[in-house]
Amino acid sequence: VQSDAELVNAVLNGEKEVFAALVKRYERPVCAAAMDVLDNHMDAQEVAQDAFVRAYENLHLLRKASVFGPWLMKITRRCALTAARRRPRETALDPTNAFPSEKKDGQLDEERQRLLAAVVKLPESEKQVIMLRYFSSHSARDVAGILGRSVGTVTKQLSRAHKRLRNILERSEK
Amino acid sequence: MTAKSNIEEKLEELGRAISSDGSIVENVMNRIKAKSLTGPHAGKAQNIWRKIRKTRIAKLASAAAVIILLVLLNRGRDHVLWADVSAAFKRVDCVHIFMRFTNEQEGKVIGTEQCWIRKPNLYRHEKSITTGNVVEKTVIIDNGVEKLELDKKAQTAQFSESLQDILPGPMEMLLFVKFFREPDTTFAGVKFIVSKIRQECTREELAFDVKVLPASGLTKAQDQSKCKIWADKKTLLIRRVHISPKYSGLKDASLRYVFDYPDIDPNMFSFNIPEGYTELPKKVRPVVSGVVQYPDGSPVADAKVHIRGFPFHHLRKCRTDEAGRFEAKGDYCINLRFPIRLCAFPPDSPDLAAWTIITDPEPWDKEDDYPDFPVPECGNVELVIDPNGRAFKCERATGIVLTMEPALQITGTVTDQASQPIAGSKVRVISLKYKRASLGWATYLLEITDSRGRYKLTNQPVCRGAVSLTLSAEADGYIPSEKEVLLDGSLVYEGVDFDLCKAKVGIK
Repeated sequence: VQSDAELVNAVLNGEKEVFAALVKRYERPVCAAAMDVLDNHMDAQEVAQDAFVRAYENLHLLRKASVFGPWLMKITRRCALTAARRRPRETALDPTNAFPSEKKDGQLDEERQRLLAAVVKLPESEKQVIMLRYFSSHSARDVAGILGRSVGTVTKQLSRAHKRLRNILERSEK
Repeated sequence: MTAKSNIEEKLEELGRAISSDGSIVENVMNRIKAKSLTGPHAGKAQNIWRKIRKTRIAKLASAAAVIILLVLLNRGRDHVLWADVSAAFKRVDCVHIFMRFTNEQEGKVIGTEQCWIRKPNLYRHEKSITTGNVVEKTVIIDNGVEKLELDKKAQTAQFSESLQDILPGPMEMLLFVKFFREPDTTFAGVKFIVSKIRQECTREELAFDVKVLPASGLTKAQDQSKCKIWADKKTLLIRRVHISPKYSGLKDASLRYVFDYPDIDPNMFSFNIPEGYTELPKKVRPVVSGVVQYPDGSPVADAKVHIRGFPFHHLRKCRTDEAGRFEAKGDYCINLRFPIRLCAFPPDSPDLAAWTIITDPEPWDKEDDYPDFPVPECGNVELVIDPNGRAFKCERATGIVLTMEPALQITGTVTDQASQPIAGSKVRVISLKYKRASLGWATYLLEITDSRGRYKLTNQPVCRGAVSLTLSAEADGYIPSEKEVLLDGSLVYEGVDFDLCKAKVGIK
């Protein structure tokens, strides 16, 4: 597996198509991050596209190629917040919103939403590992390759993230 | 263990819930291609930029460079000097100037002056002054050779010689203050200091302040006068000038020039005398002429001749030819008023000088005149008689004989309070005292002290009857000092020393 840094440098050196690999790798984490803000799968997908295009446009401004993931997440969050602000006010007044338990199409149920919110709150390094491992379905070995870390580190970060998530969820249940 | 697998399961479920139909990759790549985004700029320049952004020092250095560049650009934009405005004015071929005098208290227009200038030397000037119900109007047309004056009230026309050879140019004649010379230069005894008034500059106009200082630096600070000039920011051409009443000489009046730069019809400068006008005989310029000779009667060639009439600061200089003859023409603006003083200095003898004074043969008030003046031979003096039958100025003074006599020599040193010599200080005679009167007698023979602070004033005419001479010494950064030298009949005065005090900051 090629690391993020290698892919970013390849794109910067003119191989534009390589950016597709980065999009593929991060599409789900990006969607997840957008959903945390927007609470709607369709909107999240649109925001994800915008975030990728913006990342591509500003890739030359990225100081460290290895931090592509966290950087992309920041862009996504900013795009999502902007989109949320632009969303028509009526949504907030929509009577269907009065029954949040009722799952609408393209929305996560309450439990998953809580879990997603907990994932987003994780420290940057752990969040990235969790997102790549579970959202993008990479093996721990692959995640290590993508992030340029050792397998041991990734495994440790995963177990720490699990513990942290469990704590967060338990606290929120109380 | 179960808890762990539980959270893992939940995460896997969440991952599945955030499904993607794979359209994102396709859409993003299509958008990138469709927009033909320049995106991540590959290439060396980009890499260099990335490197610059990487280190803190490089970042600070680039920020400093940007700030310096901005400061420089800003300075450049703001760097319009009076010299630029003056140069723009000089490049213009046609100028029309409208001048208006208004009574400051009543706001009433008491007179207007208009001037049309077409380079190189066509000049028309119209002046009208209202006194009560009477409007006096005069027109002057000057083509650099001849000058025609039309008086509407008297219905007269009179030709005379052009004055443009005396004054630097017709426009400067009109703008009687020599604003359009380079700033900080000295002319006719005054110094012009032009500075930008930043707080009054707008997007369209630049504002300049003109200070007029006596060049001698001896006059007190409150004597300086001011005028303001506004220029167009784009063309740098002068839009208007406002002269303070104090400087214009008009009490309780404000004087305002308004400039425009149209193409002027050359017919405006034709010498046509309107019907019904009486042509007066051609006016002759005042002339002072004569010879300079040694005591034995032989001519002094290449001698400097200084002629000074009233007002005192006006000096006409000329030199004698091989036969010792000199001739100086006056102008109509500053007439040869009494007393007229003439001095002549031989080119190579420091101990000789010649002088004479032409006094008023019929003084207004005998008591106020200078009865102690010995009146030497003046030759033929033609006087201008005023309507009351009195002579008030000299029209022509010819046949003046200036004979060399032994001259005074004054020596001394200029030091500071610590007795250290001041090199480069200026020493000159500024006045001459008689028993009952004092006379400004700046011979313009200036001496500059050497490295040891010494000076030697030579060629000072012995003015019979004079009681004392007053000398002044001045140097940059010191307060000028004056000293009186009592004349006891001898020709050499030594040890006329000056101690100058350091001036406070800002005083020259």
